[in-house]
Amino acid sequence: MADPATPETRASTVIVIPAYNEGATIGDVVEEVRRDWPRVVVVDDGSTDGTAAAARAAGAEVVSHAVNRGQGAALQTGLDFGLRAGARYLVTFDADGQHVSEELGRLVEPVATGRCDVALGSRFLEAESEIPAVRRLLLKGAVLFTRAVSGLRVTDTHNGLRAMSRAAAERIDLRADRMAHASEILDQIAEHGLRYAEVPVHVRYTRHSRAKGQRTLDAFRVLLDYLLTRVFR
Amino acid sequence: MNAFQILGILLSGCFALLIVLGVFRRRIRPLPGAAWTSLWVAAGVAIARPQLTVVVAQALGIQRGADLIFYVAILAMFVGFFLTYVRLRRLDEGLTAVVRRLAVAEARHRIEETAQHEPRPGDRAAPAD
Repeated sequence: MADPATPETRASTVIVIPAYNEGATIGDVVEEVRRDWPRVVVVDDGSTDGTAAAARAAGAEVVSHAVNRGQGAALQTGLDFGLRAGARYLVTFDADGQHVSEELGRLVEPVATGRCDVALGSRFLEAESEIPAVRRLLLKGAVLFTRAVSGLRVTDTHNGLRAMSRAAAERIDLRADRMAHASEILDQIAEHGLRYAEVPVHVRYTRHSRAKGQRTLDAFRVLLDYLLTRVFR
Repeated sequence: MNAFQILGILLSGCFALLIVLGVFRRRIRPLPGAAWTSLWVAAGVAIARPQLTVVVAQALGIQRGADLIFYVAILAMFVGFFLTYVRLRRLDEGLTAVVRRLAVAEARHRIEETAQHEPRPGDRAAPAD
């Protein structure tokens, strides 16, 4: 299928990749993305393994947190930086190599054509990824929880692949520094009345992405963090 | 009055006085200052006249004064935990904001420096030695 993103769209899109100790993979991820999307910003979240140097060598712009503040904080930093760099569209992309860069065009297209303000990647639509059983169960639970709390009818709440317009990024203000940001983004989409659409994407479950990903028990920590963020917002 | 009571009253009085002084020197805000002073005065009174705690306890439907003090201490502990947690969250948010501002400023500075050192169209190359 032809990539629907125009050269103008690619040039005005900033891909934000939050990374913490991803020195082993970040270079390959950045190179893969930069084949078609020139503006990549890696937010090095206080890594100690040379993540920043590897990302810079691969051609990314690097924004470095002096100390580790969590993925949510890194994402917000990347969005702030992208906005100040004049991006018209912003994409969030995970650093562990689980996303497929060829799907970026399809993700950005509905935002670039004005059909929605935020496009959310979903692994549960037409494109079936090989999802481990326990993770599938947890993700389904998160979907039900999100539907109950924010009212958004989404099928995948914890997918790191998202595209948004500049106007949407200006309204999103992540306060959850750690993993609860995924639910917080959905809350803010509902709160600000942003138009959203889900786009089918694949998720690659490699040994590395599984090792770096959330453990099953972390789900309870994320839930607690999310509830506290809502209370203290 | 036994030695513990004398020591307890003296300590409570000193703490209450320090807080009042702190309020007058504008180092402690009036409302928290009043709350802390009341707390230390109440502690002093309870130590000096333990039977008063029994009167207050029975008025609240609790049998013994010691139980009343125990319940109040537990409650105060939870309030303390909560206030500390709120403060910690605010500190955390502040830290993230500082780290973010620094990170973005540094990155922008690096970009501007790189742009300054890049040759512009029309610039002549430096003559070779």
